[in-house]
Amino acid sequence: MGREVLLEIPARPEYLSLARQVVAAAAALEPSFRAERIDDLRVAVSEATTNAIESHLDRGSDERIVIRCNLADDRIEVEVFDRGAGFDPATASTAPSADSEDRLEHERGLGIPLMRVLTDEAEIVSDPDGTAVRLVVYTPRSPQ
Amino acid sequence: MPHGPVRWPLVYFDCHTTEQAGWTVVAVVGELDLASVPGVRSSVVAATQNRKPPYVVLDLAGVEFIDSMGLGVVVGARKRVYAVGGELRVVVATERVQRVFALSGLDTLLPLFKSLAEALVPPTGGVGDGA
Repeated sequence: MGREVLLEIPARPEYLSLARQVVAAAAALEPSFRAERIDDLRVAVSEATTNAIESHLDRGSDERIVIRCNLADDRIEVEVFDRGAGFDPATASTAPSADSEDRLEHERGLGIPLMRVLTDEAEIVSDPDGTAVRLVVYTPRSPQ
Repeated sequence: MPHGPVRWPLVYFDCHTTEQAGWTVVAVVGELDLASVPGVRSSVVAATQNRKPPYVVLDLAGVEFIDSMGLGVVVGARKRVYAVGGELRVVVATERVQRVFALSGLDTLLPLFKSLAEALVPPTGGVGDGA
């Protein structure tokens, strides 16, 4: 049976740290997660929540960001929901690859690639009314 | 009022600038994310304005957490410093911060050093020699 933690935060940068702390604390309830894996999840959650906060700030929205964290037997699943203007994940701007000459010209576009590499699954569903990001990390003992 | 980083509910972050061995050292402590990057950015801007050309060490040895916003401010610092003929070096001491640099591919593109002492060797005159 899953154990769910639900967190709502104001869309303000100073609440990012709280979101990370809550998710990391929930993940730490599963003893098989190594500290490094929890650190990876912290970064991925920070990326998703940063995008959510910025999307609300861009829109001038006072609505809260919702973070749902579900600790199941074989995985931890974190979902981040915002009510921003949305974007197309397929065409979202990402920084060029590390071997590209102009890689160091890009200060943005690192978040989504990091989210994908730091989790076992990263899914982004977005429309003009908001975005849902789902991040999954499997427990070491579960087949993926 | 005690000096140093503070923990949540405020942002866990501190940034201070010193002059050492010919370098302007911007030392960052705490968590480097959307909430704290403006503080680092303004310190780097000040460092590039106060000395021409600027030789800047961004000391992240005290950083416990970094995400893509933190990486972005480092890339931005490099651009700003190199645009005026200076040099930027970055100290990354903790494994978890090194890992984020490595996963982004920036570890091969930026002059990273494992300690401030290693970073404080004389400037090369505008071109970073990564370690």
